[in-house]
Amino acid sequence: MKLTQWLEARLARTSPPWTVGEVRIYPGYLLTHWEDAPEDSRLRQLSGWEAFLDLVRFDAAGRFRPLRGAPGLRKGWRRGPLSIADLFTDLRVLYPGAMAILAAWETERLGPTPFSMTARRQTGIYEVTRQLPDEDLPALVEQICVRGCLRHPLWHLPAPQPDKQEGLTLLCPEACHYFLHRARARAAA
Amino acid sequence: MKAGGAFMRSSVGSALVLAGHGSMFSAESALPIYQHAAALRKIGVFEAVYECFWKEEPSYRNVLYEVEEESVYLVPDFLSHGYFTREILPREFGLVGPITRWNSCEIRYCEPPGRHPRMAEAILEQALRALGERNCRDVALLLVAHGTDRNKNSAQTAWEQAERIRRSGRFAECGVAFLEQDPCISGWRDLVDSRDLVVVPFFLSEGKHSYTDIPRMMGLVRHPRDPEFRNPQATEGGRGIYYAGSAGMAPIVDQVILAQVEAFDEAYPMA
Ligand code: SF4
Repeated sequence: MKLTQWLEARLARTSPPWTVGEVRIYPGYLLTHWEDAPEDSRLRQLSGWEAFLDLVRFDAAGRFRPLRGAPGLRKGWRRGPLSIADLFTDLRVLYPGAMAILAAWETERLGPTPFSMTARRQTGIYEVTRQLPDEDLPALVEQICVRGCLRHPLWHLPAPQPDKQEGLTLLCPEACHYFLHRARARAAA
Repeated sequence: MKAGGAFMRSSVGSALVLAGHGSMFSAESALPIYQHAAALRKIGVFEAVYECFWKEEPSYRNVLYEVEEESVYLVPDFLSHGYFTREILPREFGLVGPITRWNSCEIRYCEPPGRHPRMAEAILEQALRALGERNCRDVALLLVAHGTDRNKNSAQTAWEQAERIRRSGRFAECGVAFLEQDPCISGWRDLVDSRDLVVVPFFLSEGKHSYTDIPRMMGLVRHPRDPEFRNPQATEGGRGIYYAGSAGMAPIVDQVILAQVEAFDEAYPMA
């Protein structure tokens, strides 16, 4: 099944609106920040990929957001009506890989990679992450992933429970670069 | 691109994955990759075009979950071979050679665009834009690359492209300088004889090197982000410096990426 078909079927399983991270999808498909109402006439209609990319890459203060899963998406915009293919593309821009990873997870094609394996693979400046003491990992995950990111670190925390799978959970199968960067600082300290 | 050639045939139904570096601090680093991907999507040669990054999202490790096509051209969006193209990318994608099977798809690992002969056209494009109406025949082109003593490839690629520009005869001369190896850009006065020169940073994106480091090491009064910046910049001794955009930001680079895909198909025809 194509990923767009998967998304369409996945949305049809639950009633709208659908929430993904900090956005909400309304039938049609309309996309807004979850705290905005799609009928609000003050919302800026965003068209064009550059404007949308800019929206997701910078916060309200104009700071770069290298970690898309971090809370802080700007409000006050609307996308749509969108085709299912365009909705999929928008979600890909917002949370790169997230829908494909969720599809892989739900069809049992996703194997999370434990941190020890990710660290063992590293060379260069990230090689030092191999030395991160095991006992430091839970606190780092708590600080970086649980409090600072909307993705669910499958590589460390238990898998999401079935009742939670009704939602479009943002999954993380392997420690990201942002995490490695912070882990490196901790390991080198 | 040879319309109707081998490349056109084999790319039908294929995906292009552009692998860039990205940054956790600078939004500009990933920009050329987004731009190349958007331009190539528009051309419609590939079924789908995906971007991925070492330091941003999606990661090299995750992007293949998104790919639905059976044949994937993986192009490292870099200017030369080095640590990332030789070690990081093969490792993260699990490559075993130029062609790798990953589940049901075949990954075709192409050369970076910076190495293709047509990259010289991108350098020329940036130089000519900076020169505006000025005739390039009596101006020297100075290509400025990063360079590092740890990896000879980066410098070698710059020298090769400079040689192509020299051979084209479009400019009075063409020199090469580096930020971190000899000949160093700080000695630019002795590197080209012509009175006026156009400087083209041999970088994929704009950033600290192109906006700050090169102008500072050349002793320019204004850097390209300065609202008062104008081409040419006058220097003592009456020499004029035209400062161009980074080579990787030239619109023609998307064509160079296609040329690398085509070159791959010529070297490894599809079965
Ligand atoms: S490793 Fe943590 S911070 Fe990085 S994407 Fe995964 S959950 Fe988010």
